[in-house]
Amino acid sequence: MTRPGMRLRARLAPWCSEKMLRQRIDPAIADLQAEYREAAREGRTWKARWTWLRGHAAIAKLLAACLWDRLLLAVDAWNEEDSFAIARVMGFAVAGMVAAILLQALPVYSKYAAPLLDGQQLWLVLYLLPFGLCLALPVGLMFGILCGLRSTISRQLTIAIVAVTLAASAVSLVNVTWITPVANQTFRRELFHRAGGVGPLARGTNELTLFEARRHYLSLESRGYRARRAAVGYYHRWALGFAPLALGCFALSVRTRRLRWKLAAAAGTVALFAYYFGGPGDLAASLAIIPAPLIAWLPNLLFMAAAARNFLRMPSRAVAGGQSRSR
Amino acid sequence: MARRRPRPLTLSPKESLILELLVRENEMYGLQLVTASRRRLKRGTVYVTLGRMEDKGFITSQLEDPPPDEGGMPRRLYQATALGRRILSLYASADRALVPEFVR
Repeated sequence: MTRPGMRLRARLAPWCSEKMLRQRIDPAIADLQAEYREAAREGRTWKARWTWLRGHAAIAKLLAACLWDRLLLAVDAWNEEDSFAIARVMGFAVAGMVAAILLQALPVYSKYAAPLLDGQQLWLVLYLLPFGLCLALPVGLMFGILCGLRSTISRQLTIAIVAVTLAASAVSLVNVTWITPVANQTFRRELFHRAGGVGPLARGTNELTLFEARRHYLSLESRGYRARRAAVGYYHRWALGFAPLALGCFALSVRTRRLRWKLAAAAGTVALFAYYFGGPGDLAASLAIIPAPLIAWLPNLLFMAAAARNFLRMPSRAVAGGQSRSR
Repeated sequence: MARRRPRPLTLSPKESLILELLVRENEMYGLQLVTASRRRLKRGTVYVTLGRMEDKGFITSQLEDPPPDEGGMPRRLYQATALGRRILSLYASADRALVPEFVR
């Protein structure tokens, strides 16, 4: 007779603590199997199938409840060391973000604005900050996690860091969708008028909101134009929105590894810059055989795959939060 | 050093229901508790509540022998502890004493 729930248990076992398996998962699976056996013994095939389905749905609900329970325990267990750790992470992250923003915004200002303004009205560089933030947010966050966390961190701190990466991704999505296009257009309009231009200035693809960019590339395709670059640009902006999550998870997965991993993280960041700002990214975009979403999401996917590999290779106690600091 | 607040012993409505059922029937499986509660307890989350109650010391559990000839996992039987019975009785007394006062 098949034993329902055993395959699921085998998949969950590396991710759950021994206590969670013993107290919550195993009793749920054992009850499911008993109910299933009874239905099968009575010859009621459909009841057995319904029991299988209901039992697995209950286990899914159980996992969600365990996650919520763990979150509440983590909030309750928060202490001063965790506060210092989060402060370190945020401090390093802000420093990294400021450096990354300046590295992107100042060259653009120097190239387009400085010749027109003779170095005056430097405040116009503020309009370039949202553009700089697109890549600075994920890179700064990764820098903050790598430098701010020690090798052993508590479960509640891990949950807090994941929450920070999710919040950063939400901010990044809002930035790429609405804020950056408006700021870019304002910057361009200011320069246009200072250069003697009159009338309205048409928006480029980088000055369209995310939804306008999608309509733009779909309308090009429907009229028979090659819209590959427009499509890659659109998906690229979505990928930037989720880059804090991808890089944050990657940084969290390497924080316990040796120096070579942190150097790999730094190298990955440089590669990410190069990919998004030209060279490999432009080359990949021109290869029509590769779908546009894949081109745009490739860096995120690579970082997430590396993070998944690192997490899966951790000892199961560490995965289950066994790295809690002794108190 | 981390400062921990002492946790007072509390009894949620679901925990109270589980203790009442266990005191009545002496020992039950998780799924039997769900059936006996007339759906006031849910299939998935009952195990979270039972685990929490076991940590608090209100109930205890033991594994049955695995089913013979058919394989499968052994089921877990739950019983109320002396502490669980006492706290249920205290909450019931407090309930009886206070409710008339609030109803007034």
